[in-house]
Amino acid sequence: MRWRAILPLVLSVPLLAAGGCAADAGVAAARDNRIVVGVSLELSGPTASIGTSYRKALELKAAQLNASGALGGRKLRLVLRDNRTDNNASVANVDDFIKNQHAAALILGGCSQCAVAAIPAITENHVPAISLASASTLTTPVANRRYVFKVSPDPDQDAQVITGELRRKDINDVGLIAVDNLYGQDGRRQFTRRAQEAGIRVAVTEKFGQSDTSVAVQVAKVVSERPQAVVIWAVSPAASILVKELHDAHYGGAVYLDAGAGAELFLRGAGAAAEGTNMVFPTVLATQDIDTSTPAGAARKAWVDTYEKQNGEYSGFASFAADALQTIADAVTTTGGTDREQLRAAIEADQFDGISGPLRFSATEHSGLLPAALGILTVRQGQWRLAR
Amino acid sequence: MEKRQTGDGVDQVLSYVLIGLADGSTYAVVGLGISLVYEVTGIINFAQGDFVMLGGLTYAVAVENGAPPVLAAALALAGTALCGGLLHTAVLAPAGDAEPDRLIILTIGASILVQGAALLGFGPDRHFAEPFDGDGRIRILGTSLSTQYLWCVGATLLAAVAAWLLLYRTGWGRAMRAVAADREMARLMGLSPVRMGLVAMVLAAVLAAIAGIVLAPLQPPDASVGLPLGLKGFTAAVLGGLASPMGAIAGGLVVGVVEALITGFVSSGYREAVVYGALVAVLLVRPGGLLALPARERV
Repeated sequence: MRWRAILPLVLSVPLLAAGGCAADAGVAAARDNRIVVGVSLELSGPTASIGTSYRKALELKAAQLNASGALGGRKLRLVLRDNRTDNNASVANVDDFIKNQHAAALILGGCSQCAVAAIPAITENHVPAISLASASTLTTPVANRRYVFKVSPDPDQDAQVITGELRRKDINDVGLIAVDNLYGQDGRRQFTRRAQEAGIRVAVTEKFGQSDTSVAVQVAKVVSERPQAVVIWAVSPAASILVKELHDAHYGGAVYLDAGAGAELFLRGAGAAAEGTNMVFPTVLATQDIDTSTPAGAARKAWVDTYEKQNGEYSGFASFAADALQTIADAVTTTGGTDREQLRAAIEADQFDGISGPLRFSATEHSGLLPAALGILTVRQGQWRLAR
Repeated sequence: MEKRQTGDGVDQVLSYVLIGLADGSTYAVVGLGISLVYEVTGIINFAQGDFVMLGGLTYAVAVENGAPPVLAAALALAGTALCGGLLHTAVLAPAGDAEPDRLIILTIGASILVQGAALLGFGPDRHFAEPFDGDGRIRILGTSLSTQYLWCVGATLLAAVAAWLLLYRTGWGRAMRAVAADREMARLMGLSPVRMGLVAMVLAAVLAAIAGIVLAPLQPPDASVGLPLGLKGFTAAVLGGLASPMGAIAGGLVVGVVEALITGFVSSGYREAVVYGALVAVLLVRPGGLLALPARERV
């Protein structure tokens, strides 16, 4: 029957249409009063939910900035692309932003290695880029990273806060589980170093792949050593799976997570197992404990509430995206234009109270978030609260 | 603080084997589905892993949106069975008596389509489901695991028994084996290979959905988990001899245990390399599978 031959063709039409629509049809004539910001995020892949949080935060912040008229007559225009958590796609996006979209500045997503892969293109084309990822190699050595900035905590800052807390709680025997990628291994190195300096023994270190579906073996190994605390260096959703497995394995010690677990999926994924776990993160995530007595604090609470209202729940990572866009907006206001070199210089000199906390960039430090922004948070009754 | 003793080495290996068996039971069910379809239709269904994803994801999303677990499971089973039927009716059957290679490529295309549809329909996030027994844990030989692992193993056993009963104790099963043995002769005897193929595919989809549902609380699914599952299931089926459903189950368990042992004693990074290396080795040395059954049987 003829319909049988036609049916496969009919079914393939929506497939082709979807494929066609996936390619960006945006015609970006670079108009004078529009500031184009190229945004390359992980909108598919294991950390897609974080990329989506970034997108929501950027869209909200852009709308707020455009509505407030802070940029004079100019409007911010975000050009969003999915980098599929893939290095090559990341580089291709950056190339497209620079050559076709005439972007004044870039925002790169949370995948550290995707951002590192794009650094040569960024440096060659003298385009200022703010990365939402955390690996320290993004901004050090500064001499080779003139055009790259970041707004999230350095793994070293995270490690310092965790070891400080471990020392305070008199814990000197820990197990460490870290994800096997640039971010996780950077964290592992920094934490091991800081722990050694503080006299804390890292009894066992395990690693796992970002997209591993089963981590039961690694958890079993760590638990069998019976450390006083387990430190996890992972990103959601792996962080929540690990916490759940630790709970299933009857692990009774303290659990400390790095900032990678800040996304809202962690609480949902780990469920009851998350109760009592600790994490180092900008204290803004403890939304109920934000000190609104200062103007900065009040602004933080207002932004967090707006995000929550618009998107149903707050995601810890949203503040980084908001701060990144604010930094670019500040630079545009300061320089009055879209000249990339001037923007770069302005970003380097910027300091302000961001949603994540106090930010200060300088010629020697391109990672702007100050350690004062960080604290230890604990899950109490299903919510992140300040530990003390 | 009690530290590990040397005698714990055996305990350690045992715990890895246990975890490996539990993980491997998922591969076993995927492999069973692939083997079943291959036996009856001669096609290797590379969308099998995506059926598991579909079942698990539908279940998790339904539960997240407040549906009672039984209803969510029924929804997942029905939806995946429908997809299986659609795959056969709309994609494979119209291809007629095409070469198996072409049909395999069609299933690969279907796999990508299902992934894309799931991404569009369910979004990129992982979705979470509570284990069936909530916080229940069980301690076996010193290793404490969630009781959900028992459900996984139980589901695999159930699937194995059901598949065996179907194939060897029912008329339909006999018909399917007849079609597998000799398509033309079966047609001459009044059996419809196309209908048997449809039955096999729907069955495989249902098996996959069951696997997905019991796995969802342990490994929160998103649209992309189907691909590696399908590959591991394919490995399981090949290890056990493609045309042997029981072999596929054994193969899946072997893959799971090997993965766990490699992760435990070497590093999780080498897991895939070893498993797929074993696949290549088996294909080269014993293409009939490690547990190859005799080719002839009276039907």
